[in-house]
Amino acid sequence: MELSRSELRVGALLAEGGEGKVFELPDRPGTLLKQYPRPVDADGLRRLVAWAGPGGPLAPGMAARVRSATAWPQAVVLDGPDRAAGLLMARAPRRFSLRHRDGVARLATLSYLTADPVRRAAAYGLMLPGQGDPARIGLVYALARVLEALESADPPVGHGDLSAKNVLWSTRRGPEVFLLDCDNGERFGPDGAPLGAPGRRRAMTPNWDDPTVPAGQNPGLEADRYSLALIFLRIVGAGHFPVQKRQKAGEAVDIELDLPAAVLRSPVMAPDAPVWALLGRSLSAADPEGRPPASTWAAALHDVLAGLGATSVIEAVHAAQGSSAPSLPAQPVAGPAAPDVTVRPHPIRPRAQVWTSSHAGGRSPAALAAPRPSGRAVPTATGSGYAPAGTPGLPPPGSPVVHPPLPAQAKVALRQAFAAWKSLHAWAGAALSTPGRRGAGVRRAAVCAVVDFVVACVGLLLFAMIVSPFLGI
Amino acid sequence: MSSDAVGVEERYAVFPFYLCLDVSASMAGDPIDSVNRQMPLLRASVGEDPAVAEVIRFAVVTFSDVARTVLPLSDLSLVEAIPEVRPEGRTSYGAAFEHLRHTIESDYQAGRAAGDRWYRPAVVFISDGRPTDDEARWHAAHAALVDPGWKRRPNILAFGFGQADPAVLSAVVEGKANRAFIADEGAVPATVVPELMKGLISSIVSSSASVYSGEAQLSPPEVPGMTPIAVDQLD
Repeated sequence: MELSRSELRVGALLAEGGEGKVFELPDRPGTLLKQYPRPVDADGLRRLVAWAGPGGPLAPGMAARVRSATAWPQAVVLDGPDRAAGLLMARAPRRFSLRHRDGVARLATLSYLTADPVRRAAAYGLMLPGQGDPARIGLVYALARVLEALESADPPVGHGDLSAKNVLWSTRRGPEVFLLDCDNGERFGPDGAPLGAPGRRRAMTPNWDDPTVPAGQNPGLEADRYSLALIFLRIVGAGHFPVQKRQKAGEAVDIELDLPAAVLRSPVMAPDAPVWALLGRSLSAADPEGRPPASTWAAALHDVLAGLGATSVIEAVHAAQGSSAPSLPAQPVAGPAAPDVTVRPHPIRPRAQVWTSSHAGGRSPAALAAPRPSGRAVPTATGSGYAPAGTPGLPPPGSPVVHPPLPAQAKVALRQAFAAWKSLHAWAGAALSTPGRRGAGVRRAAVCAVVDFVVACVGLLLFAMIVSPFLGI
Repeated sequence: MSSDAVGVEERYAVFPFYLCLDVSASMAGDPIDSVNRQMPLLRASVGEDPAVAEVIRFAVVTFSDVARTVLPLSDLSLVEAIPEVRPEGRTSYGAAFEHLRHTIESDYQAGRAAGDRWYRPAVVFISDGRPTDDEARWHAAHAALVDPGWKRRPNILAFGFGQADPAVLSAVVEGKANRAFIADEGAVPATVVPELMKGLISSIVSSSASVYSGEAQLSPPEVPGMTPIAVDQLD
């Protein structure tokens, strides 16, 4: 499908970057215009549009995955017969955004998931699944199935830039991903050579890129396989895991992945489970050709989720991708260990950060895990924020410290207490609604009941002692 | 965790920014008000984007007769509001440089103890006047701050308007190209300061992107109404 730039009524600018500008199209809700800084070869883009379209090489079930989970180029916007000014693509559905405490919704990039969830909760008031949670594994499963679809056709397509900002996620209807910048994709021939115009430069994002792709070169299919494994490591492990610098220096990498003991007790995630060797082979810089295809990951993560009892997660992923079409016959998950990457799962240890208020007087970690009080800030001379001791955020000795007045402190304390109470119940609710974790949910609900009982008793006591005399009771 | 293993505690290196702001009496009115109005935008632009916030640490230091830390070096995603600044006193560059040297060193030691790795810190120095303290004092304090033997010596960006002296600002950035900027003739602070703060925000955001490449780069801001001071203006 093609159309001319002049046929479009262009709306508001939504985003701007090195790759171009993205605009709303008032006449086409749900569709966006991506406009390049300079026109590009239209032919390559036409082939990419046709690749996922009707009559293309994708099987129907696989096409459904691509349609539901990517902003695949839908039409070429021409600037001349062979020059593309841009493309039309699907807008990410609203569920792929997160509303911060300030009320503003922002795209749900992977950056939210690659850090301690407690830190993210304190910063933005978002309740995120904990490290090792089946919802996190489900997100990687969803991504593996989309990449499997890209690899399944003849010719296969590699995305090439699976970075934090290009993979959006949502758990609102169950784990889902939505890939952006798909026009960065390339079709590959049977020999692995790119089929696009020679000399084309494709984007890669530092820190999410394949360390074996030399500077100035384009990523191959193996690069997506590396990125998939890196995303598994960072999302499931909820951390940065900066491995590439070592790999670029040719060093072997030894990774320790902290996971909840309950997860590690499952045979599918135990230290000797085949998924860890799969992760090592996929991250290998010594043997990039040996990285297993996405179909192997899809099969492995299906087994992991089933082994954890999270069948509802599997069903939700399938439903969101518009097809429960079975995955391709995969290579066996089990295989030799990578020569240069070792992954050792380990029972979760408390993170070293000690949470401290950056003005005098601290808050407990539990209070910090709760959403930050919204609304007015508490003015203090040293800033009213909170900084973990892991960042040098403490005022130097002797810094001026001004405390807010007592009523303000009481209001803030009340708001914090309410937020903590709310997050405690959400914590219990989340476990209760997650299959396979209902036992933990019941225990958490019991904790909630005890807390509620104590709060009720204290409230009754206060009423009896303070309020009732005024009422003559 | 074994010593050479990559684990959850190994985080990206962080890029510390120190905003060093002149709050002498001559900054009263529009300049200070503009700074205070722009701070929430800076906090939101950096703090509400997890990909930027996780690699940027930001501090605000003010100076007049004395220098003080208004916002300790922080992850802006965990800061509710940057405190407002108020005008006071004269313009002691010496106090600013001495305070920065002490603060950067102690922040670095605290960060290192907690497992943080640092890129070379950046100081964004903003002044509307000439130093009022003894020249020998501020020169000595500046020399200590940029001492090549001190590993934490910061890269400095300097911005001047009002009565700021281009030659002095050039000396503050050690005569390095594209590091010192002076407001154009006739530019009013009410226009310059918001542009400067916007430029600073985009500079921090683009610097944060460079952190992920493993080689952080300080991106000098492009500020309409301000011109880089040519290197040859140094003396």
